[in-house]
Amino acid sequence: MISKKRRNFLFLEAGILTFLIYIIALLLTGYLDTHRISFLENEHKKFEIIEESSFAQTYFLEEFEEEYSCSDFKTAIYNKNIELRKIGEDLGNFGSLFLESNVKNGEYYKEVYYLNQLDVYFQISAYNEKCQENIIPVFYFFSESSSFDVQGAYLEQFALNNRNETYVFSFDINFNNSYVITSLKESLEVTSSPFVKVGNTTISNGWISSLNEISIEFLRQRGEIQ
Amino acid sequence: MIELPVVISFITQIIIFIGLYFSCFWILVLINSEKRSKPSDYFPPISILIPAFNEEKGIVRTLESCLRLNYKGELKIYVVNDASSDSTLEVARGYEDRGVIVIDKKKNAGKAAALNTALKKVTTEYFAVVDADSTISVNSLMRAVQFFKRDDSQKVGAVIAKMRPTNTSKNMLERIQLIEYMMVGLMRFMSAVIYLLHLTPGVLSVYNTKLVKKVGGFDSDNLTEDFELGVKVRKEGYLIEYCEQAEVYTETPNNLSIFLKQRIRWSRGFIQTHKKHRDIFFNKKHGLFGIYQFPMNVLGPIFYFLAIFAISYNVYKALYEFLFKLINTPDLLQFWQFDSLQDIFLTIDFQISFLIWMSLFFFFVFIWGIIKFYGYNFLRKNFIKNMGAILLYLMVYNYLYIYVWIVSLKKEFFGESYDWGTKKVNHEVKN
Repeated sequence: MISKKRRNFLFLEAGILTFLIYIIALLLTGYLDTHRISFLENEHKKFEIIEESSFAQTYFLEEFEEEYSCSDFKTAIYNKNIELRKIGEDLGNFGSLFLESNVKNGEYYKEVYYLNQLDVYFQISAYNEKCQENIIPVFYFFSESSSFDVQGAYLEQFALNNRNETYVFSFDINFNNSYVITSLKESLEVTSSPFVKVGNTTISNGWISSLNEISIEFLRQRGEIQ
Repeated sequence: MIELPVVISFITQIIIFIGLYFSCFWILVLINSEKRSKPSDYFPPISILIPAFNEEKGIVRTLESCLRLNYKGELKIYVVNDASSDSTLEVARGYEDRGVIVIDKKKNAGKAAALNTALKKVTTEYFAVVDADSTISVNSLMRAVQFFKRDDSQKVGAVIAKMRPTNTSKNMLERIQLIEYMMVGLMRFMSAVIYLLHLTPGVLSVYNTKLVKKVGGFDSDNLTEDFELGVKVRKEGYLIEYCEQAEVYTETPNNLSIFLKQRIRWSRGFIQTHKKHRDIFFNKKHGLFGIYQFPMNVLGPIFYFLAIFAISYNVYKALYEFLFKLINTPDLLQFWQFDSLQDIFLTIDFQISFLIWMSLFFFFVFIWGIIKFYGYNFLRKNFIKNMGAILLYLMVYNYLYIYVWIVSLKKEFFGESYDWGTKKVNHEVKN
């Protein structure tokens, strides 16, 4: 039998134990956070090389090749985008950064990622113009909410189904740290999320309820894309 | 405007902290507690009261088990027939030649009134209440009564027994209730260990007669007169003990409507008791029982429902997203394609992972408690065999309780009377 004095002490012991477990959990989370940031940092470093080589390849093609090699250009954009998407996925997975300093770092890498996405978009525009192609850019603005995970999944699957034909660029609608992204929102007239623009067509309400709704064939039939 | 996920995230954080605290607390109680076996050398005279209303089928077993009791002291068995319309009275009268005293009430007035009628005739220092549809183990009374003798200055007002369901294999509801009874038994044991037990189930409890008479006996206006009496015992400064060696076997509802009716009655009785004894809340006079236990009785269910809500939200959200991807976007299901262990660790979400760890923690504390309290063999026989029931208990049963509470609160708020109805084939359990 526990004495009453001992029992009262158990309440205190439980409090201390809880506090300790919670502190350990917070420290562990902070430790994981730091690893997340360094992981993102390494990915960005790797991407910088890919980006630079992509630019170099583009200049090389323009400078030395007699004919502009559309297929090489297309491959370069595709490869670059694949690497960029990995960073995007990790940013999404590491979304719950905990320590304030890491949150700031996370915001920085998010901004870099968004700008890199825009970079890919400009390359696609240039490619479409030079090669008389019609790769369709999709702009997607989301909010941090579970219902958007489903929308994002649709668009991700859409991009996978239409490799080389379409590229999805996703942005957090509440991200206001970058002047460029804010300008992009203004020029696309983004006022609420979800916002989906496929080519030149804005999907009404932005909500996608099935993959068929955004299939290329469907959108072409409706004349929403060329 | 604050979004729902933000609110849920906030609730989840609070639940994690409070849940963790109570996990730690109960694990410490478990570490510090041990089965209490007392020498059997105390045999004061005892009266056994059996209130019966339309119990012609069950009462034979109940009386036989009472007559078979291994008890060296004097035993008086009273059956109070509460104006049964079946042959309960005749069956009970058949036992008069074996010393059973039958009290026949001409007008049905309920269990509490029946017990009060019998209580007036009780002259022994202690009396036991046994439900007419339950059977008690041969040593139960002998074991239970030892708890009234204490070495310290604490006074014991009542001793309760370990309840075991008899019908556990017909359907899933019965199996789920077996799991529930296991948990409840463990919690009652641990509550007794820390001097906070405050209910006396009518299925088998032994009381100090003088004390019960002093507090006015059983409250016939309360739907759970046994619980209410337990609170009155505590209010008088007496302890309620849990005797793990005293076992009582009872039948649990085997269909949903009887089950829900029973639980709504219990919940309404719970509300009535707390309303009636609201002076106990935060009252230092009653020690930890007033400062902690009574408020926790009310805060506990609130916390419990919030926990169910937050855990369900997180679990079902994850399940929905997984199924959505599986059906609509199967190419995105790449969870098995982690590059390294590092990847897995880095993607762990603090909140979700903490919930998972906490749930596992709870689960292991429970398993450990079951082994410590019931023994490994019991766990092996009942627990592993009923894994399906455990899953349903965790995933579905709790929602039934939300329904029960909503209905009970509504009925109590609007002051609806309780319809006791007629006795069903499967006994409407009154423990």
